[in-house]
Amino acid sequence: MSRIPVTSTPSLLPKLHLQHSAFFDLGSDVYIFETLRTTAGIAVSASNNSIKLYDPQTLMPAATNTYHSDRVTQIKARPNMLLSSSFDQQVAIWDLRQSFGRPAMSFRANSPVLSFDMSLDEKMLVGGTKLDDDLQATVCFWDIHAGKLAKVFEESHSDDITNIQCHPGNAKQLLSGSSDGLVCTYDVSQFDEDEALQFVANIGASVSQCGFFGPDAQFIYAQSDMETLQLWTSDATMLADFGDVRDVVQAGVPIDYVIGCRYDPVQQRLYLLGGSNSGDVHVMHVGAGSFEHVQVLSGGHGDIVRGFDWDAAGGWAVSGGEDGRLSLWSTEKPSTPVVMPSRNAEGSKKSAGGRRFNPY
Amino acid sequence: MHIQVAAVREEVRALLAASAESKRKFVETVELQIGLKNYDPQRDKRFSGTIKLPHIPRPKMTVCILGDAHDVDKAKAIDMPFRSVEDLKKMNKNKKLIKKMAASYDAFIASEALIKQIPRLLGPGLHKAGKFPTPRIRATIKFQLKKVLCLAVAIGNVSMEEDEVLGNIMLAVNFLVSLLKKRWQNVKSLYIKSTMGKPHRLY
Repeated sequence: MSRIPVTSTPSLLPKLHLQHSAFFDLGSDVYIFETLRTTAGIAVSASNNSIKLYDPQTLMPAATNTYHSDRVTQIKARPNMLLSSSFDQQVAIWDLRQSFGRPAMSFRANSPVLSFDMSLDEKMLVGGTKLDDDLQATVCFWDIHAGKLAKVFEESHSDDITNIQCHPGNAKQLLSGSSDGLVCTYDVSQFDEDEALQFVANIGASVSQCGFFGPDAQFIYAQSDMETLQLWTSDATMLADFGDVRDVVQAGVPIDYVIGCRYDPVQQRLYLLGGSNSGDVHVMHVGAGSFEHVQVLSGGHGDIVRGFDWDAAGGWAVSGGEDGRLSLWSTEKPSTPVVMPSRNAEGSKKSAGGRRFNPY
Repeated sequence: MHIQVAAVREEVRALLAASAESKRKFVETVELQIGLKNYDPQRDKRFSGTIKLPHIPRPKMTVCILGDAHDVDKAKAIDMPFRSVEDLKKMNKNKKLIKKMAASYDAFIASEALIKQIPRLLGPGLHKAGKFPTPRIRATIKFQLKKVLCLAVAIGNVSMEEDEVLGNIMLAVNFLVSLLKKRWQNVKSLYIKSTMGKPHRLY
């Protein structure tokens, strides 16, 4: 019996089917970190520090850039824009209507940037850094229009800042999450760190992913590296503590790790995506004290799944993983079954989505 | 079974005996050292967190209660250090004073209601010291693996009972291994060691 009550509710969402699958870099052991839908196709960040754009229908690669000289830690999308952060201490803004070679703007921090976001009004870029040799972990605020660093907060975290999210409804509010176990919310109407800090949720373990959710973004989810999940109000009242969510294995859901939480604003539901080491993705609806298992996405991957961008209402998803595969899912049944070439396939063997690409 | 409880118990017994013989002036910490293999720090998860152990490794923690008048009365009754909301307000977000207070205690306990007020009362003053308050004492220990392939965790001290050290070791090992993608195939070696003592191999 699992500690977390789990029921099976497949009717909650239409079934997603695998449409296409492609290798990021066939023949190498490069693997995928994140996959994201943008206005210019699917953006994919990989372990060789590059970012590729793919055609969203065919998964044919359209453009590549190798701008970052070190690990790409996060990518985010806005209309006509892609943003990226890196261990190379930069946050870059790409104009997707221009060539993909150089960013439209880039901003620098004094340490590797692990996380970032852009404010609602697109005026401010906020980045979170790795703990440096002087034991500083910094929240950096850049004024986009002025093109420079406006402010740093150095007191709020004592370890790597793994998450930054700007409030989806308020350009002055944001949250940060850290390996020190804290999720902090800020209101930067007053740009002084002592005054800006609003609430602090002590998760008790290093925060891997966190973010606002809810119709008014009035809640926060926080996942830890210990595979735990907690739900809080944005004014730091804990609503639910699910503990180690791999507990659902006891209820017959064989997950090895958490891929992430995704919020569907249309149905106003929070989902938890759990993955198996063999590449299955389990989709679970998170309730106040229990989970509803909705469906499992199989056949898209053969190893740990890292990236998952999902439009639940639109019936579409794209995933990427440590097998170097990019997979496209939709609620339409594919006309022919998807066949993957083996990882070490050479030459021009053709199969759905597996055609060898020409580097840009 | 990758490690047998009986075999681990023998090593714990030997470690505790060796420590008792050498009569140090301080209480030695017992550390679990896990050597990893086939582990890619870039590919595999960031490995840092806290584990909740059944037996508190640091019984002599100094704890300060932050509270309203009611909590303060309770603290006085059990002879525990405390600061009232008024005391905190009087600090006026003075960074030096707050850091000094943070350095004076191992941990801070406060009610959920008071915890919500801490940012307004003290700003981020307690964050750098890693001492943001919690509603209860958490018997957790921190572990971290950043660049090297060895995970070291303080799981007890030599003043604990053999059963307690053993219990903490078994829990910590099983938990940490469960976080590894290839489980035991990612483990190269396991040792326990007291601060001044020699390593005892478990695996």
